Amino acid sequence: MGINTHQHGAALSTGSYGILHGAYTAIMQTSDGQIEESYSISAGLDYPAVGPQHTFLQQSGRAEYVAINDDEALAAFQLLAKAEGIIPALESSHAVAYALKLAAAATTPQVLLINLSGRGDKDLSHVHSVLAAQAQQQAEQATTEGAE
Amino acid sequence: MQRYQQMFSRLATEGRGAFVPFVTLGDPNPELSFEIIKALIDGGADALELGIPFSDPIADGPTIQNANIRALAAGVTPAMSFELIKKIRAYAADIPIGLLLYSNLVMAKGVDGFYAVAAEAGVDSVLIADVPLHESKMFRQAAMAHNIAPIYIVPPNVDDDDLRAIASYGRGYTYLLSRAGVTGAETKAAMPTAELINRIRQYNPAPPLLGFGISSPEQVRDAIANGAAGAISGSAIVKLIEQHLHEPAILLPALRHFASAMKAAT
Amino acid sequence: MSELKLNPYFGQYGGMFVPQLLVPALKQLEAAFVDAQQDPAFLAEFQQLLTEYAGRPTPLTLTRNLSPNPLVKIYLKREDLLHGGAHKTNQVLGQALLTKRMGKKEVIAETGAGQHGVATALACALLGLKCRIYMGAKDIERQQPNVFRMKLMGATVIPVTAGSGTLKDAVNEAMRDWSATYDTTHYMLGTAAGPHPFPTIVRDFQRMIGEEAKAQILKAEGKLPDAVIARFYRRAEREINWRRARGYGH
Repeated sequence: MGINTHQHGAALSTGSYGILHGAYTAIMQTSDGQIEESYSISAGLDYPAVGPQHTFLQQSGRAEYVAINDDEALAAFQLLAKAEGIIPALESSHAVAYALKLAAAATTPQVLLINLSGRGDKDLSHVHSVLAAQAQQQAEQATTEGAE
Repeated sequence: MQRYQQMFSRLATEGRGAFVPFVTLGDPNPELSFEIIKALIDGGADALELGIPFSDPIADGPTIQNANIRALAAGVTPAMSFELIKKIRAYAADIPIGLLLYSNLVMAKGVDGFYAVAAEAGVDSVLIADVPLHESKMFRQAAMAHNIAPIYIVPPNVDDDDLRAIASYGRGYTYLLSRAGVTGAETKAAMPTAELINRIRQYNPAPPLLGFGISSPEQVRDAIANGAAGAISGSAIVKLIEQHLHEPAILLPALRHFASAMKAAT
Repeated sequence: MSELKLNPYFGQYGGMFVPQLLVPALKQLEAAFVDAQQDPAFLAEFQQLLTEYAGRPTPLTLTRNLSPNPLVKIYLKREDLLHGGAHKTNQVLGQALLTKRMGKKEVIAETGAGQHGVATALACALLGLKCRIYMGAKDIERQQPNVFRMKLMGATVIPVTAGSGTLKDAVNEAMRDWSATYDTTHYMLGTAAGPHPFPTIVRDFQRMIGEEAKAQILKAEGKLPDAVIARFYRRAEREINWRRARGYGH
């Protein structure tokens, strides 16, 4: 399980193009052209299309689009808080997560620049409940394993 | 698309205008939808305007949004919509059938392929709600290649340049928008003045039918008196469907009656 | 057919696929934008708001402990320090000034998590514009603090229950509203998407982030960075859920 983290962002990787809200661009749709409903557990930039210039930049090879999964973003969220005293927005945490991967893989001196687009205040209660649920799950697993 | 010309010349001989009902194909399910459309034809509809259900109908108010939702919930696809059109075509060989839908449904399987399927099903015209004049070339060319009339919308804020272009590119009929906003009977049509319709007609477009907010015979009469070639009514009909979803024995006669009252006003 | 002033396409993507009714409103917006970009008074007012109200330029921070690799230096462009807490504030200030320039008194906007709604509300409060914000009913439930922020700053928040009750549906409702109110109202779209000229306007009203960052990194390092990483959409999560919902597996 787990998403292949090197695949491109969903709408951009499916090669599915169409028209939503006024622009011809990469969109999430059924084979009949109905726009996909949103299934994300959290509010935010969960939108079944991307801006048309992004589609163009991806197609032309000018920019690369990489997917980061929830767990990676959540880890980056916590790491930036601990390491630098900066609580990033969950959205921005995706960029941090990818930068960490690039940094870990680097074999030559490099300078990376992250656009830290927003702060994480709005995400605190969400992250708090996700982390609490994870901790509980881990505790339950430990109990089960102990019983076996 | 010749069916529109035949209809308008017949109406000219009779000295009358056209009544055109709109419904969403497959609302509330394919079987009842066919009966609904038959009732409208039997009641006296001169032509049909039919929607293919879409997930995001941004030009529609709550009534027609709900029709889209009901049809999608019933599992209605574009392919099923075309099957329904074939049955309607078999029932009424001469009635002009127009599609009114959104661009992504046209794009999904390829533009040319869409028009080919539509032509084969017996469609006479296609109006794409979210394709304005300056994005219409690709769609217009595919339509013409398959002998389908591209329909253009003339909004109340139209300028002369756009009128000229719409007159030269449009076929079948011209969809004259009565007012700004989305579809719905909640906001009544603002009756365009005879002066405005005259100004539009000077460019010699396909005959103008007035739509948006048309729900009563009086409005149909006024539209024609002011120079429109007829009127299109959608939300008022869909409201009847909504009211009698599970009572076809009440719904179908009510629709026949509504259509004949509207037709009588032409 | 009156011509557009800017190219509505990026390669083959983009365009202006809206009801004919909205075309004059988009053309008016495009004309106001092009005109404003050449008006020193507009640019000065925008700059003044960015500097004195929003807190630009934002710093570039060299992280001390974040990098897992001693070979790698990681810098952060600190849009988190901008007033409002995110980069969103930049472009809403630009659009709010355009709204006034067009003589419009009201603003509509869509919001998902509420960040664009908060940014819109603050810009409207500052510039005396009446503002209503469409937000999915589900999102309203999940984002109460942002809903409260918007209301504190005078915005009306309108819940959208249609569809999945999230961002896409909020955009639908905002566009429906706009098709009846464009004479008096500006639609303040929140991201570089939607019909032309929004993708171009939003991008250009955010370009200072890149311009500042470029100057700052050149000053700090004497060269451009090896990579610039920005968040885009939270697609991964969506893809997983989308695939799961359809039983595609991975």
